Amino acid sequence: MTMSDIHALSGAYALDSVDDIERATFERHLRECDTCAQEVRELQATVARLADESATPPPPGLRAEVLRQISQTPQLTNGQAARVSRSQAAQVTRWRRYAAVSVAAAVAAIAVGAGTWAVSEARVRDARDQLAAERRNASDMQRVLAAPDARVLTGPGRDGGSVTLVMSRSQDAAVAMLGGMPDVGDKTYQLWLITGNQAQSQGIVGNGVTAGAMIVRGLGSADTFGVTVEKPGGAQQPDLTQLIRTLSLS
Amino acid sequence: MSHPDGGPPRTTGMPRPVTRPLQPVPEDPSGGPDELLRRVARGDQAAFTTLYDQVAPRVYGLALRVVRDPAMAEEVTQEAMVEVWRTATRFDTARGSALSWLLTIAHRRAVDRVRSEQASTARMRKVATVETPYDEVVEQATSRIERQQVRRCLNGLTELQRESILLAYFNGHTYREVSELLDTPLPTIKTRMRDGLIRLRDCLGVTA
Repeated sequence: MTMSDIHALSGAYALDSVDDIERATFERHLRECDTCAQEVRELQATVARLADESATPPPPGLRAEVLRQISQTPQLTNGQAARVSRSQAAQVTRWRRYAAVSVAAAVAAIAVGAGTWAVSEARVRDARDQLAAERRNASDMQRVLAAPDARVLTGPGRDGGSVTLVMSRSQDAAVAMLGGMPDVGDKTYQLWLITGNQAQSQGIVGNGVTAGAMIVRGLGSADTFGVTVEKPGGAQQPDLTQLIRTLSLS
Repeated sequence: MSHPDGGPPRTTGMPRPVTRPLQPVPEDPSGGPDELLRRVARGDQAAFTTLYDQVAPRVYGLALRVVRDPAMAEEVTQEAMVEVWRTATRFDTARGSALSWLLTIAHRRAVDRVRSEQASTARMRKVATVETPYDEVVEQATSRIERQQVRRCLNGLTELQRESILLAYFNGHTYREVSELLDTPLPTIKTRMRDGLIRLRDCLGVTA
């Protein structure tokens, strides 16, 4: 995505009309662009005005239920808030916290909807195990996304769509996201971590899956992340003629 | 204007009123959402109750417009309001008004809900199957936006700008879906959303 492309996204972003990957990418851009952040705030305030006359009395029981819930819900501590304002890089920290919340919500939505593809878990039959695994994945994802050293790497896929990696060295993990990839029939996308000339499979995405998010654990000293198209069930070594995208981790 | 005594206007001979530079009208007198949210951030449940009463109809109304199901709108409102409570400590007045912040939270929740519903009905992989009769939606949205200023400003947009914005905001469509619904290239939709909102912002005199 070029700079002017991403800049033009402020309207769609303010309307919540972007997908999760674009949201993460754009929020990264906001961190670096004060005028864009200001524009987004103004457009969000503008958008809120569209709701001016939609006001509808909520069901009467809702008030008591919300009040009951908040009486049992701890607030984010002042310590957490104070850290943000004290930080020299307050803007950066704030973005990350914000991104963590919104992407976490997106991750939750993905988990409910498209299904988080988690390779080792994919064949776990017991639904309860799978749910627990997905919860663990989701919380690992949140940790990566909230990490102070989180970085977003992104690039277009060779045949369309986009590949995004949010990586954290401190968490030794990353969240890989594919969006809008072309359907590869009975083949599958496979993810790799590459160290020097050694490629280690991080798992396959599954037949027919063209979008989703997945946790990649153990970055170690890997220098490159890659996505290939492989035969059903995946391959031991990447087919370099079918390289969809590489992202440099260094 | 005639005076009963037929005399000169009363102001004559009276000390001239002291002129003072106009003060901007405070947007948020003590009990408005901004102040309430500051108190909520300090754990003030009474302030939260007042805030709820002030904003819940807007939050619920917006959620209902987007998810179009009262039970689901209720859930979205509940989640959003609890999130407001939980994250009030993070709200920064320098980053905009409390109402805008809060409606952003609610809208995103509503959109997430719509999209996961779409996903669970396997409509995510082929957005081309979206069959919403958009002109109906746009007409509905426009007619229900009664507030004159907003409507007047919306009418000042081009048709494409207006439709893109309303379809995205009230239907939770991604701009990709909007592009397909309106049969218009992606970059055009993206640009129309932005320049449409900018024109709307200027027309409404929104500042943040």
